[in-house]
Amino acid sequence: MNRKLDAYDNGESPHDALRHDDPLGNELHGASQPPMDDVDWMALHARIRRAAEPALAARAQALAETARPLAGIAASSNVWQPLAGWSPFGIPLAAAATVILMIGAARVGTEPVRRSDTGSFRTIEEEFVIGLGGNAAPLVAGIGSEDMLDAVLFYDGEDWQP
Amino acid sequence: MAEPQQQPEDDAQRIETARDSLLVERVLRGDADAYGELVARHMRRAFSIAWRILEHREDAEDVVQDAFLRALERMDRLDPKRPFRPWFYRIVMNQALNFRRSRRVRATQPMHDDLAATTLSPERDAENTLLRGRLRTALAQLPERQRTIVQLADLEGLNSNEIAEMLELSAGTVRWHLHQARHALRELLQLPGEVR
Repeated sequence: MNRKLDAYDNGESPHDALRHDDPLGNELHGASQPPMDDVDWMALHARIRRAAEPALAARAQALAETARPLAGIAASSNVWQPLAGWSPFGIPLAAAATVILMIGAARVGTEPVRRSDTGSFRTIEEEFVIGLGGNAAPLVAGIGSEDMLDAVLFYDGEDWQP
Repeated sequence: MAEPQQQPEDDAQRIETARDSLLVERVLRGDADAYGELVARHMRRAFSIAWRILEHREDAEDVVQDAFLRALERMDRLDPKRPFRPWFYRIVMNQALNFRRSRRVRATQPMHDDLAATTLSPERDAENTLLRGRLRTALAQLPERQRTIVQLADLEGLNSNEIAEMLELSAGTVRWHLHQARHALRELLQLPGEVR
């Protein structure tokens, strides 16, 4: 049966409509015709429309009720109207500020953070004490920062005499 | 040879289907004029389908009215991609079948009153009555589905795709039933074979 159905799906046979000269078509049409001329079509049409009026009105009303909140949103958008006047200036300014911020953030992000071990700045004397070890500490004790700096910067190879 | 004739028919049907879809859209918004146009476009065929099941004019008119109201109630459920016509005729058919069932239960309405109410000459009337009797007997011997399909195809002029939509069958199955029904009717009515 499936093979037969496939054949009909391909439109091989039979044709949808009977030919006009087909005896079966003549028989069917000749013997069984609805009384179309006896129906008052205008009255039937009016009757159907009248009966449908409440349902149609309910549909229209439901649609209007759905549309009302949307209309409220549209009305409240008037609040934004004055701000909208600034948009020709505001939008380019905001865009420029964003670009500047992004470039700044990118630069900060790429530079290494320099910090001391203790997380704070040290004086030159402190650096010496740490650098020379604990035994050198008495050597520099009591020397001012300026003398210490001269000794470092202008060292000529001779022993230093305070 | 059938191709050139088939193409304009298909185009015309596509235009009709598109028009129906537009009207349905408007009806869904509560447009009474669109509903009126939809009724005007389909009430004759709907009446014809209902009458073939009920064979009673007033009952068929009532069924058509009920079917249009039922269609309005259910229109939200109609898939916009599917055509209105077969969907609606299915409602008509179901309403008519339900009506016939309830009428059988009540058994108060005379059947076939319209068939008797003709105004032809006695000879012609007798001939028609004989023809109708023969045809009704032959149709009654067909399975319900084949009877419905042959009536929709050969009397209402619906194509197999529309009938398939109405009866929720494949178009191939409809064509097969149609072929079987025609074959059976030719044998029962002792008519010559299919004209090709």
